[in-house]
Amino acid sequence: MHMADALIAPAVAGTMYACSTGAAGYSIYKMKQSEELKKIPVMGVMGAFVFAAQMINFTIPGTGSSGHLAGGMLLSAVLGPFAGFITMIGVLLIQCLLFADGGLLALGANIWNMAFYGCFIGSFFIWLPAMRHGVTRRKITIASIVGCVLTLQMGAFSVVLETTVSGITELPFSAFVLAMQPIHLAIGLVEGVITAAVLNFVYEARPELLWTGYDAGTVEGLDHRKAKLSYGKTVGVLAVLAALVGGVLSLFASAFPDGLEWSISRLTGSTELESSGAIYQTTARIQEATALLPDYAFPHSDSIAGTSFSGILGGVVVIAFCMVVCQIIRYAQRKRRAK
Amino acid sequence: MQSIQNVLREIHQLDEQTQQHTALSGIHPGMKVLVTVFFLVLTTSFDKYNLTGLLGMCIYLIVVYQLGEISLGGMLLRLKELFLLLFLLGAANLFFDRTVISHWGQIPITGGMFSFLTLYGKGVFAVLAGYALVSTTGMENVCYALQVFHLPRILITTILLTYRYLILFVKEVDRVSLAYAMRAPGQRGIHCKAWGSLVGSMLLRSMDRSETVYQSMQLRGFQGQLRLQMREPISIGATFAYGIVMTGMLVLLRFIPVFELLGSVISR
Repeated sequence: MHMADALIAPAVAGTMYACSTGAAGYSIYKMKQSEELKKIPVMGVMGAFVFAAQMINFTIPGTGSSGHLAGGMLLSAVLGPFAGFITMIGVLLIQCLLFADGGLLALGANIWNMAFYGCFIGSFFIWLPAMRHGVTRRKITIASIVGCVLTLQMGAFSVVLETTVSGITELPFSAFVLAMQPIHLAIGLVEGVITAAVLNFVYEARPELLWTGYDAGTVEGLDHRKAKLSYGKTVGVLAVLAALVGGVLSLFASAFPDGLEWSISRLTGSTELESSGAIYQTTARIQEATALLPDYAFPHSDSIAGTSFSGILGGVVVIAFCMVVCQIIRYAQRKRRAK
Repeated sequence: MQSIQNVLREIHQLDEQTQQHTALSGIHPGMKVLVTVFFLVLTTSFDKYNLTGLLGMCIYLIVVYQLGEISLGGMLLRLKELFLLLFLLGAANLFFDRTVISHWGQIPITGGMFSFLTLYGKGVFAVLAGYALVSTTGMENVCYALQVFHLPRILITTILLTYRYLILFVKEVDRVSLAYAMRAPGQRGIHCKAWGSLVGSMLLRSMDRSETVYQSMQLRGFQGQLRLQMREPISIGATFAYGIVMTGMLVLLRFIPVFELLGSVISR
């Protein structure tokens, strides 16, 4: 689900960076407040563990295919949502820089899609209410599966929204949603079962390691008054949310293939926004001057072949020039080092 | 995710690459990060039909790859997965945007074809730029740049520790997977009965290890943050020159169709 830089427009990338920065800032504030210094090395080690564990192939019975471990829910269940979120940022940054899984520009969006939902929604709305009356194997299994499925669905839906708003693909919104959500439902189920298996093992071996939102080690005798939502109410809220997302939004999407255009037409009466003002005119002039394909046509040229030839010829000359200059710099550098 | 052996090989290659002394070694990592981000913003801001304009941005990559003495060989495996992802999304443009904008001989050229190629171009350029940054700077120096930008110490320390323990854990996963495969020949992946115990026991070992790490860090005076320093001396002049030249070049490439202008001058 890692988004590449090519799939996101700079404005959307900036917005997502702002959202993720807000969540990260709040997490760090909460960590500092509770003086969780001891957690920092644990976060580093757990980040490396999650990264490595994601490389293990888990055979899915009866299918012949394999699945992988998700990080968000597992980290939250062990470290808590705030430390888990910061750890996931580290994992995603390293994946982005070292292994080209997602782009640097799209990192804000990837943090939001993969870490925010898993750590915050998964922890506060699923894990914490589920563990309110004490921890059992059944609760761990249900919370892990529901958490992974739901947060992955939210992440996948965010990817669709971000790509659509960026105007990258011509794929209609409804088709994109229909392509993304079912596949991530299956992935979420597998990831949920793997997470449940791991957390159940931890519960059997070292229950005090599981985060329950209360004092560490107090698996039994939790303070019931602290939780704001009961288990039943949480399930009810989630059911309503699932019905809304699954039923109402999908109907909405299929009735109006291009959600963004439909929203704009409802607001303005037209599918395109009318803009006026000096800034708009200036940027429009710059766009006219620099656009090579205004309204699908090359400027000042009737022949695409002629323009392409010019472009290729110019490109070859510029590239050759750059390479020669770079070779000269490298040669000078080597000579200086040799001295 | 990639296979364990690929990951180990790539980390090893990157380590070797960052150890090299190149023309970009004395540049401040913060400047490299800023220039890379600027490149990414400009590259992704191209209109989806502006293919020739986008292609001009490759000049930046050529310059950085040449000056950084980076081999393109290691990039091929990385691009494989990206190509597939971009194909899945970009292929839709071929079907939904069939407006014919020109003909090349008898072959009609549609807007979808241009936007498809532009999407590929943006994706490949972005990956190449990210790889250039990390292979000329190194992960520790990227963290140093983040420290210069006043990012929270908790975040930087977590990233750095994750990176430092990465190889250790990847090797451990490799050993565990190999041991499992030898006891279960012909089986693809880990059987569901062993999911919990295999990863769970690794997790418990990791937690114990983190406790030891914390204790040893405390003995060395750890108070919540790691102090980062550049291993190589930074040339302030070279850093400013790099920043000004690269930024100027990127702005030029973004707003002036260099390839087309030069080509038309030559072909006159």
